[in-house]
Amino acid sequence: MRDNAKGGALTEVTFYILLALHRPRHGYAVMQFVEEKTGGRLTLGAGTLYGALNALQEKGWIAPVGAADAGRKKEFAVTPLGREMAARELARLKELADTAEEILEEARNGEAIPLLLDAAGAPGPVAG
Amino acid sequence: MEKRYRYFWTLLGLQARWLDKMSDGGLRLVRTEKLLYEFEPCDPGEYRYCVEFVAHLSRDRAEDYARFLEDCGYRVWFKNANLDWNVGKVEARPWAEPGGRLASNATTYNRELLIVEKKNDGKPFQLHSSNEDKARYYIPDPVSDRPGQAEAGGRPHGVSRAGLCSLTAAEKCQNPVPCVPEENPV
Repeated sequence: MRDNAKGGALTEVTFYILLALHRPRHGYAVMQFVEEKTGGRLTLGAGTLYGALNALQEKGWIAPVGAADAGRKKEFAVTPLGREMAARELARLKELADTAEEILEEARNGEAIPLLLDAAGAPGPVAG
Repeated sequence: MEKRYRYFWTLLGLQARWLDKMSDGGLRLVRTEKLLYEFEPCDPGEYRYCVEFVAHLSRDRAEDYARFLEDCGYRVWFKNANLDWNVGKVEARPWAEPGGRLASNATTYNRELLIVEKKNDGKPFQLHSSNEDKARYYIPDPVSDRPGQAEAGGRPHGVSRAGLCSLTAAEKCQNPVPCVPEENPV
């Protein structure tokens, strides 16, 4: 997991795991959650998930829930810090989506797109 | 019970593909020994296999990982990558994580590989799905994995184009193979 927590960007896998763990889930349930929510676009290997869960535990973003009995599957849930990181990521993505929407809307309306390339792909006329 | 004798050393993919082929032929793994694989009948193609290298993990970590995989609904066997018969063997593994650097018969020696079985759902069986994770698979990265290191100055670094390590003289290189020799810091 190479999350740039200071710059704000989480990897998609990390963000989905944080979302899945807003209610207590065990590893297999996290895998199912991710696959279901992305319609199978993103599948999470068990080994990758194991590494990610350990990394997030060390960061203190998630924590095991309940006693680790021999017979029961280990469940995890987000900590207050993990919740905050997820909220921050949502704010970052919203900002990105707003900017993208604004620019693409302008482009659709034919405003504010000085074309730098002509139709053939060659550089357009340069001023001066 | 069908028995087969094979030895794959550390050819993980070859071993997994062979087990897949056995499953396609209606045989499912039930037990392994040094050279022995024992099978029971199953529907053709009912199971898929993955073989993973776990000798760089400590014993606790390897067992925790195996338990996690079992919790995910997989069946798991530890398998040897060596063939020598021994008692009280101790092997140095300087490339392993702390806790796994001295492998003995009581810990991780002869338990270097993990065979993982899941029910075939038509999709390829991959334990490692993200690129960063695949890149890290054999290479433990103690710098980025240690909590609090990013803030404590243990940032990833390396040799710059000028041939100099990006660390300042006051910082100590945390890499397993330091990129600055200790007696001659930049």
